[in-house]
Amino acid sequence: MSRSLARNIYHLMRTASRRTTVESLKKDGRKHVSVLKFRDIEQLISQAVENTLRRRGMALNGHELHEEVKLEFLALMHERDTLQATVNELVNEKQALEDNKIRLDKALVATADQYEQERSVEVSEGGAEFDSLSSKLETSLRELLSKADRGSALSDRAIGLVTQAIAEQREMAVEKSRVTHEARLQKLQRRMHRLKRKLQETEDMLQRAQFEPTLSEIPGQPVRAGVRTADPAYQTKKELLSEIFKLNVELREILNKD
Amino acid sequence: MTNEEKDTIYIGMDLGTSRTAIAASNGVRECVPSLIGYPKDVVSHKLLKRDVLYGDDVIKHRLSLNVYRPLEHGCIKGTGDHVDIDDAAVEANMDAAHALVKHAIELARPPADALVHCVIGAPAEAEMNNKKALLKAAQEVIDSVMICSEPFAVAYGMDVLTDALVIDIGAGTTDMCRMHGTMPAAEDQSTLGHAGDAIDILLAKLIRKAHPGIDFSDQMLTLAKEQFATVLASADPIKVTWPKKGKPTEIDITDQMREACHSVVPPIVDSLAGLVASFDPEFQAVLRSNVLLGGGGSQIRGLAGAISAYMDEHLGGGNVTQVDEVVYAGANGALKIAQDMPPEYWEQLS
Repeated sequence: MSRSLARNIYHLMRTASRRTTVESLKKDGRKHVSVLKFRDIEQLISQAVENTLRRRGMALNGHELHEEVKLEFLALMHERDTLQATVNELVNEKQALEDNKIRLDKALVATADQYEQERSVEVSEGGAEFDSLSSKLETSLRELLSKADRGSALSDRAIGLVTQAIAEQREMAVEKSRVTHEARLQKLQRRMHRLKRKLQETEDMLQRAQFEPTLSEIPGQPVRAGVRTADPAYQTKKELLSEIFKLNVELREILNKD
Repeated sequence: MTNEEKDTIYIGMDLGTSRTAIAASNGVRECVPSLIGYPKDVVSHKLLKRDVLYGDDVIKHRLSLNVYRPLEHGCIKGTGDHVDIDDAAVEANMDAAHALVKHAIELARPPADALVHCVIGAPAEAEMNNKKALLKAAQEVIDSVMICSEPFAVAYGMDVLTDALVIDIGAGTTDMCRMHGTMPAAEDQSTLGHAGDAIDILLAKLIRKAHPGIDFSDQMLTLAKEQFATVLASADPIKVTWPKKGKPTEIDITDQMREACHSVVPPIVDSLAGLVASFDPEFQAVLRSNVLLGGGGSQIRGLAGAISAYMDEHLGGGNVTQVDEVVYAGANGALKIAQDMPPEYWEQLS
């Protein structure tokens, strides 16, 4: 910046500013004040002018230069404000992450309890109903065969076959119960595994957000599944997907009632 | 990509009467016949060395198997509201459907501890009991599953969300869906029973009438249809060599094939007429001019043009376009829905 321009700006600032004493500031309760050296202002203005000239790449008349520099200076100030807003947003996100972590903790505990309960359930051996059925069939067969005046050997053989059939049926029922029980346990295990991973991710993200971000340390946004906001049909798709979800929730409720 | 996204696989499934197609987020795409087979006896079990066979293996070894085709008109047999079928048969079909879904998921080769999120397409007018049965068959092998309308899935996959009509011609059903930017309601959808299987039945009847004494199986007929299906008057002659009283005999089935394939056009256009007529009159012309044709049945050569011509004659105009990748259009659309679904929705349904 030329000496004459610098002198002019200095004079303008002196005219526009208010002079006061340190004692007066203290009386006003001011313990700290921001100090900006004229040299810093000079540098900001020079930077604004330089950026403008570089961008335009051509000679400007006085009015154009004035406007361009003003715009450039305002753009720099706006960028500073935007970055500050981003910092504030990140602080809010940090809070959301903390809330999410609490929710995941609770979900993990609930799922672990459910898993333990499910694991402690003993698979039914078929029990009383099969015993009762076997006993009734044996009694009925003996009566029937004795009425038909068949030998006891035939009765025993018939009963043996029936008993064997019931035993096979009992085994199949037990096996089916066991397979279903195993499938339920595996499903719960996968859910717990997923919750643990999600919790770990949230804790990692929280760790990164623990520092107070400065303007020069703004991390990128994580990639999320779902419709991209840049999709031209974003709103329509969001509504459609929400409808599909609601219909499936209703279907589940009807299925669970049966 | 987050750890969660690495541990999750999304699958779109088109569970069709004749064929089941899947498209998975790991890039796998497969299509198999919707057939399940169980060895008939101890001998066949020893020969085949498996308890259950699927798809093409069932066709290959069908003489040694009890074969189940668990889906009919796009839904699990016997699970409709007004179907008279005994409980044992319903249970057998449910078990077969469950095995088919399990096999379809395995085809996607998901990692051992990955979560499976799946969207399954159902016919447009599937009844509540049908959807419940599909859900029940799928829930045991899939961590989180949703059901949606099949033609809607086709439209969603193509990003056609408004001012369009989608026709999905399958084996059991032909489904139609009107897209207008919101969730299609019951009046926006239509399901016809006239589809690939109906074409097969008519083709068999016409061939037997034109060539008395000729002998062929359902499988032979289906293969001929898949290879030669056309409605084009300019098509090359279609000749097949089938046994007649035990002697291989060449017969010409061009006219029969054309007539059987064309039989699907009038009912489709009649149904389209209903969907167009009940639409906002300001947008009916746009709807007619934007008809998308998909599904296995759409592979009939010249079908899109035939439907357009019939619409010109009876509806005052129409433009029908065949979708790309007809076999996977439904599965691709279902996959896109699965991937676009917010993660929290999947969590709530798991």
